Amino acid sequence: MIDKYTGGMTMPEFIAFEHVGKTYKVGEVEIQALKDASFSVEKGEICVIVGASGAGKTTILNILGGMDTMSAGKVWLDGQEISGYDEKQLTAYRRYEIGFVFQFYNLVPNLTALENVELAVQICKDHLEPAQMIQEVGLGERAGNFPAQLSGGEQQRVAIARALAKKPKLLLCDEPTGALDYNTGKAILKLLQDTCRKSGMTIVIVTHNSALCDMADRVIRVKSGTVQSVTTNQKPVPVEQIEW
Amino acid sequence: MRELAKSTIREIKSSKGRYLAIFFIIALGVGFFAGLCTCRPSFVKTAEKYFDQQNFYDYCLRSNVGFGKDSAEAFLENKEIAAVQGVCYEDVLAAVDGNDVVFRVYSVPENINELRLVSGRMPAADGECVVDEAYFKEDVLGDTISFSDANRESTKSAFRHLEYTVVGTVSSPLYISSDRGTTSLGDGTIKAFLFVKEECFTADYYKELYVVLKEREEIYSEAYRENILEKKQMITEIGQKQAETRIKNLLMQSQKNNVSSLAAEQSNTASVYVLTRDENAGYASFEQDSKIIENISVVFPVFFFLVAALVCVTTMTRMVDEQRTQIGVWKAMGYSKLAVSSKYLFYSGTAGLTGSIIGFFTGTFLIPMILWYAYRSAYDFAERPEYIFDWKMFLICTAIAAFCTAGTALFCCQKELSEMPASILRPRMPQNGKRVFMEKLKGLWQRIGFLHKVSLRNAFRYKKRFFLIVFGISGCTALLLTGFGIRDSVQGVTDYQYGEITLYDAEVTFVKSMEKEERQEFLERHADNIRETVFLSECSVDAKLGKRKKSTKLVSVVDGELENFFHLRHNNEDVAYPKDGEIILCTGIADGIGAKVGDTIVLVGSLFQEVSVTVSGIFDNYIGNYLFVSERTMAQLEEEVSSAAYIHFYKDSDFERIKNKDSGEESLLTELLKDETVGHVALSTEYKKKVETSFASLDLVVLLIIVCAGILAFIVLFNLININIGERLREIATLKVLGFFSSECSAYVFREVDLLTVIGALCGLVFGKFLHSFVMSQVSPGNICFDERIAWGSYIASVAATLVFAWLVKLAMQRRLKEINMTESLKSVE
Ligand SMILES: Nc1ncnc2c1ncn2[C@@H]1O[C@H](COP(=O)(O)OP(=O)(O)OP(=O)(O)O)[C@@H](O)[C@H]1O
Ligand SMILES: [Mg+2]
Repeated sequence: MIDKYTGGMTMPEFIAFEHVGKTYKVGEVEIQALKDASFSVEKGEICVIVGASGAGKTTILNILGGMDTMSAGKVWLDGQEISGYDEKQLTAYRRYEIGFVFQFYNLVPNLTALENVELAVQICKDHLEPAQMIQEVGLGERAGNFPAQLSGGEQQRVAIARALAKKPKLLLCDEPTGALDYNTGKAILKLLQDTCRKSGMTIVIVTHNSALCDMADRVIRVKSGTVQSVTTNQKPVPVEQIEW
Repeated sequence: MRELAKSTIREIKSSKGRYLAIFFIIALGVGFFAGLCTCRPSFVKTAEKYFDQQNFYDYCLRSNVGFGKDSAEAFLENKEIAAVQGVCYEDVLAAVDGNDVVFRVYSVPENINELRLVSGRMPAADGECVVDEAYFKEDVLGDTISFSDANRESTKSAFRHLEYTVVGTVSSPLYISSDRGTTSLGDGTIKAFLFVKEECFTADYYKELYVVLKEREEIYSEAYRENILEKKQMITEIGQKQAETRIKNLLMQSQKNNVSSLAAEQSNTASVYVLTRDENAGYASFEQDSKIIENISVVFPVFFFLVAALVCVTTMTRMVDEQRTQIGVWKAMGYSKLAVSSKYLFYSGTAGLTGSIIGFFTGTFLIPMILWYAYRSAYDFAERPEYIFDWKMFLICTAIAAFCTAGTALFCCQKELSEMPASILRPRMPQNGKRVFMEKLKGLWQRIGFLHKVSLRNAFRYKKRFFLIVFGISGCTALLLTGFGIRDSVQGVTDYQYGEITLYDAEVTFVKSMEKEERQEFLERHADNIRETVFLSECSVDAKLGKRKKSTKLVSVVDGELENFFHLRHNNEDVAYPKDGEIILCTGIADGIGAKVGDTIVLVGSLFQEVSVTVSGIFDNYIGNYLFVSERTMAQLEEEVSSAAYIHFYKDSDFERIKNKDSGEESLLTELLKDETVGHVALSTEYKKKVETSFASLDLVVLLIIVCAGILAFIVLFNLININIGERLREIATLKVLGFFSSECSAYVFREVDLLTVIGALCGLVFGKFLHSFVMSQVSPGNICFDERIAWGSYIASVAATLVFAWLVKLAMQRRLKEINMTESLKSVE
């Protein structure tokens, strides 16, 4: 049987979510964060996941990034089944395949911007030059500063540099602009979009701002733990032209 | 308020580790402190109970003519005297397994120094005896003890029977320690005591009278000593009268019978000696030994309390820090300052109070019990020590525990509470990163691997964390080193004293001052046994410098070279024997009166005659105190001196003549004692053994310290690492997200802890060295100076033990690291 989401025999999907479910147990109560969620993303796409608060966006991202396990279903990345990985394999998966960018940056406070990038590449075999990455996100002058000496937007740039330096197959961003103002947020998103276009990296961005759908190749709408719709955008708009 | 209470209970449940850390550290601190402090009172009470039960004497009277059998009535006329008991005794040689050993045979006392029956029954008939339970095993019941033929005639005639059937084994309050006293018979030491019925003695008088006063002060107390001193004169007078009456009776008798009574002739004047409990070897040494523990108990617990306070402060600070936002929320909702801080008060207060109570009762019960167990090898008069509950101590401990826990909680909250709710709710400015001094050394810094750089920077950047771990760890190492060091010092004392300072086999004290010919004759008589001798003259003097004064033994060499007998040296350099007008002091006296080389000190004789001498040297000596002067300086003092000699016996290797190897030295001793000029012979090996047994109780104290230090190390490290991890949850979670394997993760976190542990352990060695010498100066009993050397092995062992503890804690902490949940730790800002 050929699933309609992994469908195309000619080109296997880069990311495939198949009937994924996630249940949290809090004491006696069971919370269904994800129910039968299925979608796929192709290589080199910018994918935006939108939905209301509590819809399950972060849960999808965490499962996709190997930070959390699922209760049901299967997840594939580039032909490999992640859902069967044990803890050690998941760690290696995060190490070599995935880059993360969080809403609250999560830089190590006692390392400089450059060192935060170095920290990530310490454990990678194939990686980009940290100093160059810092340069590329426009922070060449501030490489020796500690996180507390940088603005939120600058910190997020460092976080992106840290994620990209690992040369991941997939970049996952959870509300990357959530703590930033309009203009700074825009600049960050532009950085992400440019990176994707330039290097062909696949990027998944989680947001609750539906205006951002215009910049994506693919939009996944999530509601109360289920995937409502998956739409593809034939003409994605550059971020600069989007207003919200 | 209900919600707040719920939140408190939930807090305790969710942070069991932290709650237990406070609980255990307080329990340990209080338990150790209270336990050690109770030891001496408990032991004294145990002894008091025993002595009261057995009706131990207050005075022991002896006279040169003894006391008439009716003297008790005269004493009892005095209202202050409760009881009087006369006893007869005689030292006899008896054959045990073919060897003659010395026993002291007493008449069974009735109401003073009562015996405690251990097995069998008390003697009912003339030919029966009860024996020392420490020397005889229970299977002796039914055996016959017969006095040896070798006894003097006068000894044999003192008894009606020369054979006694053993019907029971007993212990006597006169002999609570293993010391059974000395005698002029046999090898000079009494092996055991025997008790027979008074009728078995032929004498019509008592050799000793024991007196008990009605007034009973607590034993070993100042009040007791004062009371005894005050009434001593009165007792002496009654005793004197009784002795005089006895002389009168003797004279009358001899006139009536028209024979000259030897006793009456010899003693026209009666002399009476009144001894007190302090002259009883067991009673006195029990006090000494229990004092050692008291001294130790002052020093260590202070330390434990310091560390406990440290743990509480760091824990509570961290907790309040973590809950900054929550505090803001409670406040914003309108809860009062008091209401909000009551949560933290309750949290730390209950941990502290329950810890204090449980620690107190466990400590005061268990620690005296454990130490008593060690004591029982030396003093076996009670199964278990008396339990002492000291209200005052309990209140003090609880107050301190409350102060350490609830006090610090309040203090920590205060800062947060005084801020406006709005400013608390805002996340705190993240801690600014800084470079550490090592980064200035560019050449070195570049060579270090990246992850090591991070650890180094982390280790040195946070002053508070650095200080806490280093201080905590150094405390543990210091305690361990002190514990091991006490053992070294104590063992060192006897080894060093008898291995390197006093080299002689025996010290002989002569009954009179020996002239040159007499010395020569003595040597000729013992030419078979004695290889080498140095003759000395000795007297007692006071050494005085300014206002400080110490009584001690003054010794001068009369004949021979001291070198082979007594090694005079200080700080590994030999000390020259003093010339005329000079003196050398042992370290104990030099420290005692504060004398240095070059000072002039004054020697004061018994008639207050004085001689000034210059200190030409100070020499190491640990057991006993001596001063050495030249013979001529000794003569200047015009003090009556006695003669003594240090002796080397022939060794097996020197001579093949020693037949009985088991008792080689003892048989030599017996031969020496038979010599009329010899008063007393002290074998170095025997003396060494005696000192060592009195140190035995210290060994267990040391063990206790080491175990406690271990537990302490564990709690401190556990707590500090726990806090460390708590503070860095986000950092660790980030590492996990980046794909650090769990081994890499723990290396990243613990490398820094390792570094601080090593730094702490090294600091602890320095710290411990000081603590050790302080403790040794505190515990030093009377005339023993402890060697303050610590063996190399102890330095290594204390560092190794610290590292092992740290490793164990890390092992336990590995789990905690694994359990850190990435998604949850990274969710929010705080
Ligand atoms: N650790 C957890 N324990 C229990 N329930 C959880 C946990 N994490 C998430 N949930 C629940 O799962 C559901 C989905 O959460 P998720 O974080 O994925 O939402 P989200 O779409 O990211 O929302 P937001 O936009 O607010 O970040 C929510 O209802 C939440 O309550
Ligand atoms: Mg989310």
